[in-house]
Amino acid sequence: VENKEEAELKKRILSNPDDPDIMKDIMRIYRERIYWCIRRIVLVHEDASDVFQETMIKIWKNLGKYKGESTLFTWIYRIATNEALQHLRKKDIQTFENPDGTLSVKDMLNNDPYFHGNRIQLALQEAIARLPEKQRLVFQYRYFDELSYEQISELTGTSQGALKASFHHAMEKIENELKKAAHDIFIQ
Amino acid sequence: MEELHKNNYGFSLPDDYDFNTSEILNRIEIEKEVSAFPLLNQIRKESKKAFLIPDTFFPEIMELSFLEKITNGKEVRKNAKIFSVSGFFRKAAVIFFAVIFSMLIYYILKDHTKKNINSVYMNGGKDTCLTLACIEKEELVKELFYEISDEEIDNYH
Repeated sequence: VENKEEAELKKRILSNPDDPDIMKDIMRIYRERIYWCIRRIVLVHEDASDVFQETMIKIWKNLGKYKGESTLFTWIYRIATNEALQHLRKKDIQTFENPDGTLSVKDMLNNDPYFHGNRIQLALQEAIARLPEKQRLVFQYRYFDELSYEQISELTGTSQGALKASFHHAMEKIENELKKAAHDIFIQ
Repeated sequence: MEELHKNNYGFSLPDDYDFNTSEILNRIEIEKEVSAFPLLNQIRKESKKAFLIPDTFFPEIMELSFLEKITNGKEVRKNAKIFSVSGFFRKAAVIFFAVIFSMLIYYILKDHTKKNINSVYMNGGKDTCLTLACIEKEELVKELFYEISDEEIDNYH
């Protein structure tokens, strides 16, 4: 659902995409949501900052192609997601798995000065990284970004019923991983 | 009194305030879904706080310089697009230019070497260098050249 401000911005983009003030307004309204969407995927702040810039350039470059068929928010979110996934592909860390099968998420986050999670938070991120790409995105969109199924459906092109099932399966898998991690932490 | 009641006893709402019921319902739905998984439910709020951002990050990106960087990025890419061609043509162009460049280098070097040989052996290098060091060097080269026997020259192909 678009609020008044978003609806007005959408109108401005459709009438004059070259208006230089549009970018300023996009940044003002969406900057935090765009950043967090990217950060949840690439995990490390430094990478998120680079991808954020790339996303903004891509949005600016493609404003003229926006036809207003989807909400402005989902259009922007899709660009941000694609840029973040592309970044992971470039760095060859689609699954965050090391060649020996161990996950590098822990190393990545431990080396990031902007991650202050405890061991259970690290276990959560590892469990998320083990999910297949699409399930991972659905989980992140719903659990962290609190998007509605309608919005996720628009973003992923998947039916709402399938998304509900996917989110449920993802939560089941992660809960089991967390139980194991919590057990290990408790024993130690 | 009637007027006061109409104005909600002095309380008012911003003009653009919107009761976004679908957003509220969505949040309630998420709470319900996640509550079925106790650990996920318990750590949800903390999970959001685990990731930090430098304090200066958002203020910096709202600065004019950042916006200019983005719009300049568009200009750069627009220009770059003029030369953007498909993979096959790109490879063909690279090979073509490599061949042209190699041929150019070959002819320049060939011509240059020929000139040098002529300069040393035909004109004694006097056209190009007349310093004492050059003349001594040329004499030395000449001596070495005359020391090579005819047999050695014949065997050299």
